[in-house]
Amino acid sequence: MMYGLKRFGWAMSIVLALGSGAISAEDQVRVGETSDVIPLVDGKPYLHVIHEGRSVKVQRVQDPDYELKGYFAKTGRKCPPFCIQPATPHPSVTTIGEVELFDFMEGRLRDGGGILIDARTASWFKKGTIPGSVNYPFTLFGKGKDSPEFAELLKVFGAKERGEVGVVEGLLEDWGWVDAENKTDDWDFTDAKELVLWCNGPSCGQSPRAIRGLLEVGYPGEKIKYYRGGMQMWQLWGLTTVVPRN
Amino acid sequence: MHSLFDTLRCRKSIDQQILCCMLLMLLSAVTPVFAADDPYLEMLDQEATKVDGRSSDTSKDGNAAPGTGGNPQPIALPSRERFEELLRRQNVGTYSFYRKLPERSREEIFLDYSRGASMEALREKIVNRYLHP
Repeated sequence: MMYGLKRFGWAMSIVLALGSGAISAEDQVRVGETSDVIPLVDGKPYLHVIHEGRSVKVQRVQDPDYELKGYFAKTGRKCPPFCIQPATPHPSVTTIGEVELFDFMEGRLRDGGGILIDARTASWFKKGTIPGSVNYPFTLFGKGKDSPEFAELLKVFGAKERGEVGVVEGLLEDWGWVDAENKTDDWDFTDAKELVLWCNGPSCGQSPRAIRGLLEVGYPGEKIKYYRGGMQMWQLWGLTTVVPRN
Repeated sequence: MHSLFDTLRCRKSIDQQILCCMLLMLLSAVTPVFAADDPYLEMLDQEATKVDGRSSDTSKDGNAAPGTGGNPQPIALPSRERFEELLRRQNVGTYSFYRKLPERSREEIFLDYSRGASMEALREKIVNRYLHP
């Protein structure tokens, strides 16, 4: 009986050893394949994005010993106001990470169907931003639907002012006989662009405020993405930043 | 608030002062959002002064290098397969034209893409190349 158990134990050890050997061998091969470069994601070493009219290469720091230093390495800030934010500012808005942001940069942003918005105040933007971003501070978004500045901004985002909506048209929309999706009394968001808003990171409330401002005037939540990681996570991954010229 | 009090010339008589106080209270009640945002904006500006602003885009010709640590090492070219996959996924029609182009044109279009050309411009170029070889 004892001999049998011992033999079973040996057999199991061999099986486990072979199994773990196979996994680590596979890992070694994969590590070896990419050891000369730290890519954005597997198979994508970098990407290009247009920033202020020129092409900027977005990549990661190629030094494996690189450590984040400076302001964005800090773990604590005064709360309030710099408190940890919820995963999403609104249930209708999707939160994205870096990989989705890379896809956005190569897709919607490239073909003009999307805008990457640095929603921080100008004093932050001047210190450095994510390539491809334009600075629309969150303060612009809180001015309400009657603000001419906000109205101009919505037009830049592809929304159209509806003007006077006829009684019949209004009734048909109310009854659901005419498509009223993505429309409010004042704005038609049918062709509105996809927006990705970001600020300083998970403890920053600037982009969530901007998002709430957009939602208040009826901008469809499905067309808004929130990059919660913001500048802090962008820098933690050693990704390219740019300082605006002006 | 003090300067606003002065501006409205509220220091002449008791009646005027009471009237001005009521006016100021009314104003502050009408604009609660902006009043509440002021300290926040001040704190934001203060906090921004702590950031050491610098670009990690070290190139002047569009070849950016990230980060502040170490020298960037030479890295591999962006994958043409990935570009073709992206094109196929986003614009099937344009991709079918692209596939029929000679290798030299496809290479050129891929290089444009690598340099940051917009997808719209690339699509236009692909169609033009296909229709006017």
